[in-house]
Amino acid sequence: MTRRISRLLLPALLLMSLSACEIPFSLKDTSSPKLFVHCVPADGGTSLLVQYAAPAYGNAKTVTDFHPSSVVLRVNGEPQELRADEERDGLLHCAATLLPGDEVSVEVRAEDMPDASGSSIIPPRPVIASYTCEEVQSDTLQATRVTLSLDHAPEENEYYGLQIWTRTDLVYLEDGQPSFESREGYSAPGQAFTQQELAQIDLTDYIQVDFADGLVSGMARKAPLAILTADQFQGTDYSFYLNSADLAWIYDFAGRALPGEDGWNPDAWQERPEGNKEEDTPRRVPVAQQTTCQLILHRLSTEFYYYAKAQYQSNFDFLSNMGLTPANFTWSNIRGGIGMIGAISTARTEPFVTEAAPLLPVLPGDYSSKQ
Amino acid sequence: MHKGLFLLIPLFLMSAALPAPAAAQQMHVDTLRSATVTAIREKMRNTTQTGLMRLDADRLRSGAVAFGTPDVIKQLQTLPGVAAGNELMSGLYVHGGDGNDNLFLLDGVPLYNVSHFGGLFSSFNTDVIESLDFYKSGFPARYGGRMSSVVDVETREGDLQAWHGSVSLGLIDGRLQLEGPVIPGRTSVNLALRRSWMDVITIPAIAYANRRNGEDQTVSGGYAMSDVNARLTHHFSPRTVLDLSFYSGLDNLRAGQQKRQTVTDADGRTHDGENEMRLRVRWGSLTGAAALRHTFAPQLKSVTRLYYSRSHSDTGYDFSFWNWQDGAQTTSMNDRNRSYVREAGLKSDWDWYPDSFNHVRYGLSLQRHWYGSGREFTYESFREGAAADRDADNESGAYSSFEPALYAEDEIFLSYNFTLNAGLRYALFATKGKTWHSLEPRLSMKWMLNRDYAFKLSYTRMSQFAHLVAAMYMDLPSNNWMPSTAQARPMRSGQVAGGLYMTPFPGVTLNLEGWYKTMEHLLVYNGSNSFLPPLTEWEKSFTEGSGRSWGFEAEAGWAGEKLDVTAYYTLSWTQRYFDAFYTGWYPDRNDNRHKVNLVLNWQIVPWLTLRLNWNWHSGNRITFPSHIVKENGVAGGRYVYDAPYNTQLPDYHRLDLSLDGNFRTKRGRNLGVNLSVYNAYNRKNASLAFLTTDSEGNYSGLAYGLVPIIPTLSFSYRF
Repeated sequence: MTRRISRLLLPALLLMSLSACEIPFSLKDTSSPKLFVHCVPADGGTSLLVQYAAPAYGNAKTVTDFHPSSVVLRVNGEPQELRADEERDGLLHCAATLLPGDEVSVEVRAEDMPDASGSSIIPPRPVIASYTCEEVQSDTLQATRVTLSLDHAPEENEYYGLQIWTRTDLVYLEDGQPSFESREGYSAPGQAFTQQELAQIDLTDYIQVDFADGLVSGMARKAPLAILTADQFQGTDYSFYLNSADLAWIYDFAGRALPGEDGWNPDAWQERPEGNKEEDTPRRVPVAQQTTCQLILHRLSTEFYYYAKAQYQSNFDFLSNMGLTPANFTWSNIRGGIGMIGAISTARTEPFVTEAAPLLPVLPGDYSSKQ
Repeated sequence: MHKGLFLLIPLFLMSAALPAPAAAQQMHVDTLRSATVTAIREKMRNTTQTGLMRLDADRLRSGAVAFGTPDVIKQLQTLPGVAAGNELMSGLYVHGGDGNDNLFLLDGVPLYNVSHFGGLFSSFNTDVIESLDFYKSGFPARYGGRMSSVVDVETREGDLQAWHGSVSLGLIDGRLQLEGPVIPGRTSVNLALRRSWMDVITIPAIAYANRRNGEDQTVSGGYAMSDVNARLTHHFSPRTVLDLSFYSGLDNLRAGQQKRQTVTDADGRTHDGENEMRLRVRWGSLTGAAALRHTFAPQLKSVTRLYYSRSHSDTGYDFSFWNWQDGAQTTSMNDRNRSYVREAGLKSDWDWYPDSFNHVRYGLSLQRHWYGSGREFTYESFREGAAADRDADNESGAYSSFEPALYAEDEIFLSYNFTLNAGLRYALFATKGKTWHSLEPRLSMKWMLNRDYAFKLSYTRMSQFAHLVAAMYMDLPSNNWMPSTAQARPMRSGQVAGGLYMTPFPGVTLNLEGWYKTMEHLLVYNGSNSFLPPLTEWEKSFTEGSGRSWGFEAEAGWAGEKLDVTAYYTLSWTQRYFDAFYTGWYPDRNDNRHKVNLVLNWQIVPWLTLRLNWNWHSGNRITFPSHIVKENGVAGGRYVYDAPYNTQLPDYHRLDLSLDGNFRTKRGRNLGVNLSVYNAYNRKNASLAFLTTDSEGNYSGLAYGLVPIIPTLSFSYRF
């Protein structure tokens, strides 16, 4: 009886005390609408996103259908032609060929909002002097350790971003018949292979954001970009792992059936979509695979680095709401508005085949030459 | 595992936060006489320094009380020009400072860690404090090494004639103070002990949790803090006195959990297994000093002090899991983090009156610092039929530094109404091949407009070579002190202050003071993922910026026969500039625009005194999303923050009451009863806040207050 009472009484007391602690308050510091401008000038092409930043508090009316009255992108002072993206509202593309040292500036105007402008200079293109791959193995794991060498040791305030493009080619049996599938994506560089390396990871330097279609966002979902500072290089070299967890979707399904055509995987804790019967879903059994990688190294402007770092840090905002850690912020170099114009320049390695974690038989040697 | 902990943690916190019936408070026998109060205030008017407040033992014992224990730092938090930061913590943000830039001296020895239990209690035991000088500006040249304030605490010399003492008892802690002559008339001792027994009062909670969990799961834990202050004074002659002083403060937190279970392996064999987790955290401070005071002549005196100060922390986690008792499988992991700062020094301070118009102070100090932090990690896993998996990692960072300093200051009585204090301090700081120099001018002047009105002005430069490496704004054991290095420059400040200090009527004082302060090379944590500060190459996780603060403070006081009332008001601005965060000045998190404090002491009858302390200030600042970036045709949006600390929390206010009853026993002893009520009208002040929306999509703030009314009852017995 006592236990029953305490079970009822304790949660009730906790609930009452918590609700009594709530203090609604009005937001005194009103904000007004601003232009959000996001532009990453690059030597391979430039995208520019212009959006409406609605005040989170205040009395301004929120606009639901926003179009800027004027957007001008200049390269070394010369206006450039912009093309609207067909799929995404507010996204513009510039076809101009940019070179390291070019200054790119944007000016955006819209009704009832302050003008927004900013500029950035294309940084020098990084030079990948070499890269080496080394297979490493422990009792239970194997991976590829990649060492990327630059032509010089990065100095302080020299920032890089690394993306790893991957393509996994897979041969599988579907109802006993061999079939082939290829998937592309990006993966993040692995930081540790051994427990010792795991314990030694310096997370304070670790920044990873998403960088896809020329746009940066905080959560690395689609195309992770690992930010590298001079501290993460050993002289000219930066080493990382391509391991089974990082590399490809294939390993999620290793040793199990692959999802059927309806996307349902009987071994993946998923509810079967209604209307499908198990016998209707063909089962796929992987038999061989090969993964091809390409390292994409960006030299980042300081503006890009600051913006990306702030985007990453704002993912961890709970303690700053308690006033216990430094504040969240959106780093901005857009005068009158908010956002970032931060240039990059890019170098790529040739695609190479990794032998990391061959949980399945590797494809025959002549396979890659066919691709 | 978690059930027990989830139950244990709230109970542990509740035991600390809720009606902490009774903690000890020193019985306050002597009432504050109006003459004493007036004398102290007039003394303040007569000093040359701006920004100096002197608190005597009575004031400290009767001031701010948290959990029934008089608290020095919480007392300082109520003063004008000081922001308190997070509620109940020991934050001291003076004239826009950062909280780690205050020089705490206990009998002349620097103290690095001045609080217990994350800042809930300060390390200073009011039972043994003689006086406290608190400088917010106009720093004399004899002080150096910190940027924002000086808190100079002097303990009391033991009674040379008779033994006496006091015992104070409460539920949270207990105190014992004893003083008396070792050799009557020549040698005395003053000893004070303080210990919390929160570990004792949590025993029932733990027992309850274990009873609920059953035999297969047990939890353990507890927290205790203790302090020892001792001072031995020997008078060789009226002109030569030796003081030996000692302080040790220790915090000890431990928690553990053990879970037993029977598992079946892949071969169908059953094994009795056990998982165990243990956490132990020990941190504290220790100081020891020998000071020789000698009067060579009435016009020449010296104090030579040899001292050692240490602050340390030791955090250990031990995990062992899936340990099968038949030895078929074991896994264990141990992680230990340690940090320390040690300082040994020799100081020699001289007072010389060459004539009746000059008071010269000069001296030198030689300080040696050792800073260090380290981590030991081991991992071991064994499984029958497989090779053992072992890993170990040791990481440490250690620095030593040398800091000699010289100073000279002269208080010059230029005329009967004009006094100038001109000083210069030079300090050198050398560590790991890098040497920093600091030349700090200190200038204060006082112009007596008439007998009751004084105008003061000061300019000071200060430098700080020690940096608190902390990932969070809390006094955590994991915080480390580290020295200025080639990458982390010394922090520096410059401050101009001035004001008018008046006694317009007998018993009435009115002080008006303003300041403007700049701060350079401030450091703030800019790491990404860790709540713990880095152990090595810590500079890389911090970014450098600047700060500035300006404001105005007023103090009005009236001391009557039985009633003493003081009111403080502060109007201030505090800003930061860190271009890694924002390209422009932005408000600091403790930018409290207005602050008001009302303090009342009323001796209702000779044996009963009421004390009232009302605090009000503009809310602290936090960062809320300022805008939501909308995409046409897409619901919702993503948050952006246009500037740090762009939102102000609701105003903070709180009333503390204290009722002191003093009774005399038939044997002539004093018995005291104190009833204190912290946050008397149960105001829920915001501790954290979130952005929220109503059903129509309008945004507002929602804050949570965590600190309720805390009544405490305590008893003391003085013999």
